[in-house]
Amino acid sequence: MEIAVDGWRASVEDWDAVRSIPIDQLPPLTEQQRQVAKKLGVPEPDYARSALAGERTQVVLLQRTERLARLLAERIRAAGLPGEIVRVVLRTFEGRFDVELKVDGKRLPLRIDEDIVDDYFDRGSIEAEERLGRILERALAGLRQ
Amino acid sequence: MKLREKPLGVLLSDEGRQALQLAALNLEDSQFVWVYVDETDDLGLWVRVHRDDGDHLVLIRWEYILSIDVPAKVLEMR
Repeated sequence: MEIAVDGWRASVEDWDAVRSIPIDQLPPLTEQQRQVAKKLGVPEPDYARSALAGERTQVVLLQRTERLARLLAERIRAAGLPGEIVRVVLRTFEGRFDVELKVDGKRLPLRIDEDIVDDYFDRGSIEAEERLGRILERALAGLRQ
Repeated sequence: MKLREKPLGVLLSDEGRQALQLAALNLEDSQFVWVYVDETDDLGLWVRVHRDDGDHLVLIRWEYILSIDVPAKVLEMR
């Protein structure tokens, strides 16, 4: 199963955390990054902090994507549906998860809004749970073994 | 396009720059500002600004924004 994050994000918590890092403790920018920062007129420390916050949040986003993949795999198994998860990609700019299922050797794409997954994991929403179930059911409708 | 929770560059119109200066934002000489976007809505970008008494959320209205520049991938550090 492949897990990936396309794009990036820096959570408020990670942004707060890196903001207080002294300039001399920030990781150095690459030459290309320095050039871009200069061209855009962005102070180098701001640019470095953005990169650092992004790196920290990336780990969390990957974990979240993996968590969703496991959840979907469990749901598929529990419901006796014939699919298996091939790939889950969180697309941060689109705010959705792209899931690729494999059913009888055929690949089946599935899109799930990030808001539904947030509602499910963070707020324990019953509605989100039902919606996730419905999305899977409909994607695999007619394929039950 | 979801821009929430991202540091990004905003190119402001002259009016936008004046508006942010009136809001007591310390801007560089450039019309391009680097901000942390907390959330977006129909009004514009809500950016996080640190003031002496703590963090504030400041709205940059869409009509003041000429363009937005955001790295498409996470910036890798050495």
